[in-house]
Amino acid sequence: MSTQYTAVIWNREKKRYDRYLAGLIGLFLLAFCGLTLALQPEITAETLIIRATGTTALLLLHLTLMIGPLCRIDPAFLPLLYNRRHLGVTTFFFGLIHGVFNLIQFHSLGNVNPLVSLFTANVHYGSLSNFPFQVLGFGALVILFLMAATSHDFWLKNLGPKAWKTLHMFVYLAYGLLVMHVLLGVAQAEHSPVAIGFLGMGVVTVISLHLAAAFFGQRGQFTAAAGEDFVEVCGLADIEDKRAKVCLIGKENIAIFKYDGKLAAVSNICKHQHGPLGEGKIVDGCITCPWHGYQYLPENGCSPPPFTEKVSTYELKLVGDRIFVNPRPHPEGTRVEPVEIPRKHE
Amino acid sequence: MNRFPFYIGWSADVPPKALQRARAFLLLACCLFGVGGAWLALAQGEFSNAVFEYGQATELEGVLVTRPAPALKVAVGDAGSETYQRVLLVGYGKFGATGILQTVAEREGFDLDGRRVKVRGSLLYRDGKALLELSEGDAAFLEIGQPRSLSSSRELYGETSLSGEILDAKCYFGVMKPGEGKPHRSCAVRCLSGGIPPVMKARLADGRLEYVLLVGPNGEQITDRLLDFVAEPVSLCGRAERLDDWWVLYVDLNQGVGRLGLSYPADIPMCR
Repeated sequence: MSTQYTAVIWNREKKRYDRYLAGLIGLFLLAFCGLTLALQPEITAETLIIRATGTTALLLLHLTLMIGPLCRIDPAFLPLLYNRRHLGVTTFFFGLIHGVFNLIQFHSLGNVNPLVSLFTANVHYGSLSNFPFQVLGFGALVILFLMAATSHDFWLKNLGPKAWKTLHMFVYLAYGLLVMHVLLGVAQAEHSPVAIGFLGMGVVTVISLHLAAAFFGQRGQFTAAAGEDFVEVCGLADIEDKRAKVCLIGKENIAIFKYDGKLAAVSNICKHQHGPLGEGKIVDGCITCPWHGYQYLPENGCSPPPFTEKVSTYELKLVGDRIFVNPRPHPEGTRVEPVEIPRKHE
Repeated sequence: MNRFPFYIGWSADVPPKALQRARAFLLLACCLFGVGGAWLALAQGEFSNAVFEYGQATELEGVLVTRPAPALKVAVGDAGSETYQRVLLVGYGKFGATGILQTVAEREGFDLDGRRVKVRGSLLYRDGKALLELSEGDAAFLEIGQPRSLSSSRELYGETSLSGEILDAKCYFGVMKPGEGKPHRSCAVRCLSGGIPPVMKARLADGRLEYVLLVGPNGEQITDRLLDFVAEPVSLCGRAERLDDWWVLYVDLNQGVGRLGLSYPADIPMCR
């Protein structure tokens, strides 16, 4: 969290994250480039760069897409998510090097502008086997560029969380384009099934993790139709101290927190990157988002000063040991008195 | 209930247990990236031994011929029993040599065809075929002599049908690896559009590969008619002839270009 924009707010965890990321990329490049150069010294530098950077970008994109669902399945993976934007921006830069070298290698120094050539050199748009696969890679690169360019919190704030999140969901379109880029491109020139095998494994893993996250992520979540004033959600014992119960009532995604002998309900959606507040924890008296540690006061949904983020709050009532929530949200930042838990239930 | 230590990235107090799973994941990713990188490197197809002497100038003397493609006829072997090798001439980047020859001809005021010349450029070679990139444009012509009559070794083969892939000579014989196949398609289109001679990498009936220069029935350029068919298996009909060290196919355009698709048992493996 920050009250002013800084290029990167470095801390120990981000530095550690980036060191590991650099090590991982270095290991791959060492293995791929080292072995290629040792076994096939005839390769040209351009081809080596194009292949190494393209493969690195695709591998990093797989990692990026795996982290979200892994964290939904098991919060133990949350350290992987904390600095995921650096992973995403690194993915874009490798894709950019790959794209620029391809443009230079295959389209420059010719009789038309390289960018025009990209779209017009091969015009078999109606054919599957002859499809101009480079155009698919270009489309994916444009999406990755928009994501990398708007990855900073400045853009999150100015675009608004909803528009920002929508834009960044296009990563799945970029992923689809890149899979087809490989299948309709280099896969048709290589005799070995290894590259296709790796890609297939990657696609199956990404899809499986997302399906598993959709299943496990809703485990224990209360769901009800809208319409009633107060809806019974769960018992007191169903909520761990300083943790929350998530309930989806109509379109309202609500997190009910239990802390310090009290209950409070706020929107489950963090204002930062739409992280799941209900999977967070009360730390220092504040609801703390599991994704990037954004904090909100449980009684009014406001970030503690000097921060300015606000989320909606909801009315609660306790009947015996049963918790009821009114799914009509109060305006963001509205104070709602927390419900005191009688001592006999604590 | 969630009993896992809560991780907050900005907190100075990170529970060690919170990092264990991430480290396990990282270890797995390291194995995957390391093994994957090595496996992908090993699985790559073999690269050709083609050479492009980029930045390295070579001077060649010979007789310039403009048909079927701009080339320098260079004597090979001992005097008296020499044969001639045609070194195809191409321009810088994705351009043929025709524009350069026209510029020089206009400057000199006479046609260059059949004249003895000395030129400087960068050599490209593969499988016994050679090309010279006139990197310096019209300045590549160091000497232009008198017309000289040289007989060509000619062998008429007659009407035939050839199957294979249409390539641009410059990339395949030196600049790019691989300079063929689907990934190279757009580049081949660009090169052929710029005037680099089209060549068919043809598989003959006995399984041998042969490189065949492609021209129209009267030796004219037909690049525009071939652009749609590069980098895929096709068949072409026409009159074949061997000129010095090159086979030439005078393509019968009335019969068109046949797409072979799956029926061609050759080098484009997937998706066919």
